[in-house]
Amino acid sequence: MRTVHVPDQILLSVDKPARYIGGELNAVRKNPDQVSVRVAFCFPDVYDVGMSHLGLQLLYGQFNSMPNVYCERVFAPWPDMEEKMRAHHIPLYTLETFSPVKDMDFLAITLQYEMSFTNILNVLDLSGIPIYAKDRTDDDPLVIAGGPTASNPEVLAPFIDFFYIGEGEVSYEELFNRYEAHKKAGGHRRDFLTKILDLGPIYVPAFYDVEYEEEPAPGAEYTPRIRSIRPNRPDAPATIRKDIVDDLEHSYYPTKPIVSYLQAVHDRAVVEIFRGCIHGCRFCQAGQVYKPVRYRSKEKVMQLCDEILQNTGYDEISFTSLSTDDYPWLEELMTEFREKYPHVGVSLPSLRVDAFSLSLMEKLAEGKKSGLTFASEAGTQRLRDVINKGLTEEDVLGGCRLAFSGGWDRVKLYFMLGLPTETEQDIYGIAHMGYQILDAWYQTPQEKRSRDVSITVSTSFFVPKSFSPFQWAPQATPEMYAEKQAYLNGQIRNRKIRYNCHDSFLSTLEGVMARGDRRVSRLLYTAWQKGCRFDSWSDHFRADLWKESLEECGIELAYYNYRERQADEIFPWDMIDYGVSKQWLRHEYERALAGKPTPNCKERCSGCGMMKLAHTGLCFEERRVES
Amino acid sequence: MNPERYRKRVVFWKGDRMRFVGHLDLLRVLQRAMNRAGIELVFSNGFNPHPQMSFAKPLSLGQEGMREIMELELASPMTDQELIERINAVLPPGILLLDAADMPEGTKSAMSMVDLAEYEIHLPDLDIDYPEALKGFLSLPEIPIRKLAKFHGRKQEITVDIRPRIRELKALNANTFYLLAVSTGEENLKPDKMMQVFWNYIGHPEQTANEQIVRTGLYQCREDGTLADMMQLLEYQAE
Repeated sequence: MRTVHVPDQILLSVDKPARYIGGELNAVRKNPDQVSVRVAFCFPDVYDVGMSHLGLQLLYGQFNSMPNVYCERVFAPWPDMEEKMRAHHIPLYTLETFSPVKDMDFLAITLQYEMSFTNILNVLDLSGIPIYAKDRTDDDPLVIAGGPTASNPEVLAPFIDFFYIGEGEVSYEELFNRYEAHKKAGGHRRDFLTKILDLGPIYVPAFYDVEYEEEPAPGAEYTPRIRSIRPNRPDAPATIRKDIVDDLEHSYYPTKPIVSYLQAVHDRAVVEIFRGCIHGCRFCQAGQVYKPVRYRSKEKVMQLCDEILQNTGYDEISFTSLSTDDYPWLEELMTEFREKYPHVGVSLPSLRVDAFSLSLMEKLAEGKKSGLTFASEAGTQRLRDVINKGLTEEDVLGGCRLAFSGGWDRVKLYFMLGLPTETEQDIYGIAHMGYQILDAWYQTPQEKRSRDVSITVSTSFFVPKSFSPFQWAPQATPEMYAEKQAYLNGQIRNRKIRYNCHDSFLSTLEGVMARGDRRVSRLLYTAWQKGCRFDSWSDHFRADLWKESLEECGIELAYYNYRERQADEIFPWDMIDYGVSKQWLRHEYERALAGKPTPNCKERCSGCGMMKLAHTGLCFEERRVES
Repeated sequence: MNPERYRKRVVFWKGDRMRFVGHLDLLRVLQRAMNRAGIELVFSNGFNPHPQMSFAKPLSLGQEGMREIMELELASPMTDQELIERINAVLPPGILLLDAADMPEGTKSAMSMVDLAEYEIHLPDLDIDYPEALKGFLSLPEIPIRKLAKFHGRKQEITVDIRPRIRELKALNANTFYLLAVSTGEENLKPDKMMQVFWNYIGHPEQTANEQIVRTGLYQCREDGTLADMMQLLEYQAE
């Protein structure tokens, strides 16, 4: 076994050397010579971010629970470390055994956000693995990508050997076992790809041909639409169906997560209380790709808490899901947990604000009043109906009134700019909501309210995503974004209300990556070559290099971002099946434009198509009731 | 009457990969270890209660510590042996408790007692006569280093002569130096900074940070000129 030596002198010359040493509590130690399958699991961002990610801990733990597999970790080195590694010819190595990534059988990369894509190319390069899949040989690991952003795999298609679509808990064991047999029989890497096609969730880009029309698309100057996406071998399936965990209750859960030495971004125990979301917010990709809704019982959640707290020593825990409020046993769980672990802090993301949650939040923070957060997303009820966001103005104002009379003094509001059908009035509505909240504070009797109040309004830009009903929608141009931002900024004129906003060009690029096709891969390659990495970190984002690359590669933003997609358009991701039908998504898009909300999954099934894949959870119960 | 307090002074080793774990991170590593071991610490009062745990002297990143000192206040009594065993059973690699003792009421913190720190400096295998080079280095009347410090109320670069802070510096063998350095709250010699000057002095600035520094002990200089380590201080105090 080859190992990489990293001299102390180098570690001492970079920021946070603990990012590069491994050996943390609960990191798995195995003898690499005694396993048949070696996997490097890569989160393509800096260690402190990657280590906060539940998916990494889950697959790492699950892979290592297989006796014939050793899964190790790798992250994107921060630019200071990259510079040293390149200068001293140190290849990228795994944190567990300091083995070169190139010596692994698999490099499995998790895709969590588009703006990490340049880091992926950089990770390949630092590992000495050819960037393009077609250039790799039997000496290179097989490069896998998975995770929510694999829902449009096409921008990365030329760089990845195969994508795993859906929930990783399901098919990896079988995949690794087949690999073991294949390797023992002396098989070649490319042949292995043909042996896993029947598993279901496997997308091998090289096995599919994309053809384009002759004429430019309507609304575009020179870029034609996709004419067809077809498998080029008989054994490659026409559609790749995502894997779903049927029995979340008994599925693998990482109860011995690695505890980093460094303070990770989210440095606490994490228990996923349920998966999926009943709300169909029309901009939301996660809501669609994580369907169906499946719960963990309160008893199971408590059992996981016991094990994780014992195995880590954390004094804070986070109960995660896409929408905490919809967990059926939230109140009982909180009561029981508080009784058993009075000294363990609890964080509950995205909680609705009412009397129950306020008293809960105060208890959780041990008397301290943390801020209130509302993700209203849009400034008027009309636009909230368009995006199907159930939160009403009264929900927000009522919550604030209640909170203000309890002495709360900080409110954060999140909105999106550039949503479909947005008008100036909707943007004004954002500022208006800020003022109404301020008014609610003034209306609160002085003896009850806090001495001062701070209201923060944050906006991000709407970026249409694959598998959301808005996948047809046009994205605003950077100029439009800037105009909207300036208008809103002009409307917020009170020192108690603060306005935060994002960089608009970054959202433009995110849009190109989110809905791009194989033709966009060249942009990614070019930008990376010019030195782009860590694009989601504002101090490393190089807008100038990205603009040059767009120009050089002839990427037409009018085609990828600004035009409305046609109803019958073939999307680059159409060979992927997340269970939700394209027809239903289109129907939702049309309802959106007509300003019609759709009831959530608990109120009434809207027939999204998920039922055909679901064997448990809400969809299943629904089906049982119907039959 | 004051309720009884259970304060312990603990000696520990920190090395291997733990050398790259900074002081604040070490604090969290140990707090979590206490949680896993089920050992309850007393929490401070105040707006942000934190467990009562302190260190005699933070160790610089990259250095190994053979006999580092921390002090804890336990919520309930426990023998030294039990404390050591229970925590060692749950610690990640690179850190180990070696010794512990009760701190009687009124014992001053090790932090306020330490005034000397002892180091071994292991030098890279190069074609350099280190003992000879050291003689020249020690004959310098002044060893100035530049550092950022608060001066007249604002942060700025100042020059400090560290020569008086070298209590003893000698070659133990061809590749190892021994250093006894002043290490109080006000005056503190950082051996890595001293070595940086040394490498520059002998014309090898590229070797900066290429030495291995091991802190072998923390001491107080007694009135009779002898050195007492932090555990010995507790014994003297008991006599």
